Amino acid sequence: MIALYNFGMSRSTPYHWLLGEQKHFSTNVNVFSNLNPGNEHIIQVLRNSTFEVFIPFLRKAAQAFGVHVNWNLSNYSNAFEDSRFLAYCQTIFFIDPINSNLRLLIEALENRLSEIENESVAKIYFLVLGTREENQLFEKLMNERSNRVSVIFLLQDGETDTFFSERNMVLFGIGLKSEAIQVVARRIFYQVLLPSLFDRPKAIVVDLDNTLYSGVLGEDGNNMLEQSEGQSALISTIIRLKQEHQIMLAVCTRNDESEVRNLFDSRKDLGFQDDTFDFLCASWKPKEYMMEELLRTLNIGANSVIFIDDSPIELLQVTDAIRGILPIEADGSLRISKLLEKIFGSYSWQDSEVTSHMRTGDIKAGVIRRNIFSKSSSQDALLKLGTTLMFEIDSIDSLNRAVELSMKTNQFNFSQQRFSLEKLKELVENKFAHVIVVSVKDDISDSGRIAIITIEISEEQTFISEFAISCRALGRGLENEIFFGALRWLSSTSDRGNEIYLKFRETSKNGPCKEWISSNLDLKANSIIRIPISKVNAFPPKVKLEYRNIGVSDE
Amino acid sequence: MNRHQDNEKIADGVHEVFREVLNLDQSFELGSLKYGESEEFDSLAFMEIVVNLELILGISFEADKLNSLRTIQDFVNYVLQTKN
Repeated sequence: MIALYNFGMSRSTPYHWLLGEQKHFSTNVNVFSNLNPGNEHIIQVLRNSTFEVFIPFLRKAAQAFGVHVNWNLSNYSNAFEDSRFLAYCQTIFFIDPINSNLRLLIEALENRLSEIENESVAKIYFLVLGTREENQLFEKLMNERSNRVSVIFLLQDGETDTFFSERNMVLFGIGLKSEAIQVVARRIFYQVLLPSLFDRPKAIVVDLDNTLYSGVLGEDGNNMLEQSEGQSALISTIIRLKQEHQIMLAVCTRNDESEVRNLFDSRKDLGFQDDTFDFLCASWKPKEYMMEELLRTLNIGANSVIFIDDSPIELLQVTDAIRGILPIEADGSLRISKLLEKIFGSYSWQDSEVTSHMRTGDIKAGVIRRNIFSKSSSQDALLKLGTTLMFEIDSIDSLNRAVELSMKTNQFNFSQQRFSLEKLKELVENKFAHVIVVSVKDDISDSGRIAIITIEISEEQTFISEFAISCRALGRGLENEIFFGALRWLSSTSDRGNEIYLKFRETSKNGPCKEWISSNLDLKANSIIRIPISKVNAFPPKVKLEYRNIGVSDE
Repeated sequence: MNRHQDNEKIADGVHEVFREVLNLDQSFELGSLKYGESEEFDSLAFMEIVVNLELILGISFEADKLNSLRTIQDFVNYVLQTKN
C-alpha cells in the first residue's frame, strides 16, 4: 500500500492511479497483490498492434480488487485470428488502424466478428485506437450487431495528435506517449476490464467502525464517534447510488445488533439510520460467515456486491472465502466516494422494471417462504402460498423486461443469449416463433416478471432457444413449474410435433441451470437434446397457471 | 538534500523500478542484467521500464539514446544526466 519508489513520492494507494491522481502504481499495489491468484480471470485479445503496453497497468488495477487476470494475446494479425480461442471468455479486438489498409482491415474484422459472435457466449469488445474519421467507419461496422458486442473508441477528438509518439511507434509498435499509455489503460480498465470482472452492482455492503465513522462503537460508545469529511461523503454517496440505481444497501459489522440499532436511533447526525439500510448483519462471527449469510439472504451472486471496509485483513478474509466480491478499502478520504462514482459509471444503467423496493420486498418474503418450506413439502408449500405463474405469450408489453432478463441473467440460462428489443420483436412477429415471459406472485409478494422462454419452430423441429430465470426467483422450487408450464401451453397449440429440442451451453456462471437440467432433463452440457412433449405429464402443475394473450387457462 | 544524496535517491528509484518490473527480490544482483542477454530483461520489460521512468520522473528518453541503453547503470546514468 505504500509507494516505495525513492523519488520522494508521497504515500499512495492504487486508488490514486484509478482516479487519475497519480500516473503510475505504487510498487506494492495493496493487500490483495500477494493474494494467491484464486480469483483468476482470462481475457483473450485478438490484435493487430501492441496491447502489452497497457497490461502492467491493467494487471495492477485488477489486483487492487483482488483479481488476477490472465491475458491470452493472439499474434499480431490483421485477420485477428487465434487458434486457441475460448468461447466462454471475454474477447477484446484491439485495433490500431495506423499503417493498415482500412478497407481490408474492416473486411477482415467483419468476417472474424461474425465467426466469433457464433462461437462465443461471452461479451466481445472492439477497442479502436483511431481518428474520428476511422472511428466512424468502425461504428458503421458495429451497427446491427448483437448486444454482446460493444465498440469503444479509446481516443477522444484531437488526441491522435497530442498523444502521438513517433519514438514509441518505431520502438514499441504503438504510437502513444508514455503519459497517453496510462490514460488509455485507465479507460480500458473502466470501460472493459471492470465490467468484465464484476457484474453490475446490485448491493453495497458496508462495515461501520472506522468506515462510516471514526471510532469503535463497542469501545468508544455512541457519543464519541466522529466522522471525517470523506466518511460523511461516503454515506451520502451510497444513499444516492441506492436511489439512482435501485441497488440495496446492507451493513456487515462485528458489533452487538442492539448497540447498532441504538446507534441508528441516537446518532442520526452521522447521516444514516435504521431505514437507510435494507439489511443489517451485526454479530461477532467472522466477517466471511456474516457475508455468506447476507448473500444467501439477498439471493444475489457475490459478483454483484461491493464490500467497503476499513480493515484490509477483513477485506482479504471475505474476498478469499467468497470469490467475486468487489472489495474497497475505506481510508476515510473523499477518494472512496469518487471511486464508487467511477465504478458505477462503468456500467450501463437502463431503467429497470425491478426497483430496489421490489427486490427488498422479495428478499424479506424469501425469509418467510423459507420458513414455510422448512415445515412442508415443496408441493404443499407452493399451494399454501397461493403461488400463481402468469405466462405472457408474444406480448409486446412484456418485451422490455424480456430484454432486461436476457441481458442480466447469469446463473440460470440455457445459453446466455443477450437479446435486443428488435430481435425479440422479430420473434413475436414471426408466426413460427414465440416469446414467453413469466411472472410470479404469491400471498407474500408479487415478484413481477422473472423468466423468459424463447421458442423457434421450423419444419423439422420445435426448438427452445433460451430459458432464463432471474436470480430473484431461484430457490423457490419454481423452475419445473415455469418450464413445464410453458411446454404445457406449447403442447396445447396446433401440431408442433412430438418432440422439443433444446441446447445447453455452459458458461462460467450458469451452474445452477446446469444442476437443474442434470436432475430434471438428463441433459449433457453443450449438446442438443430431444425431449418428448409427453414429458409434461410427468410434471403435473403444483401452482396455479395463467396464460395471457391466447385465452387459455389451466389450473 | 545535496546533489550527491539526490543522485543516490534517483539511482535507488531506478533500481526499484527494475525490481518491480522484472519481479526481482532484493537479493538479486541488478548489475548482472543486460538487455537482450538476460532472460527477464526482454523488449516488453524494457518498454515497461521506460514508460514507468518517464511517468514517475517526467522525463523523456530520446529515441536514439534508448538504443544504446543496455544495463541498469546505463539507465541510471541517463536519468542522472537528464535530471541534472
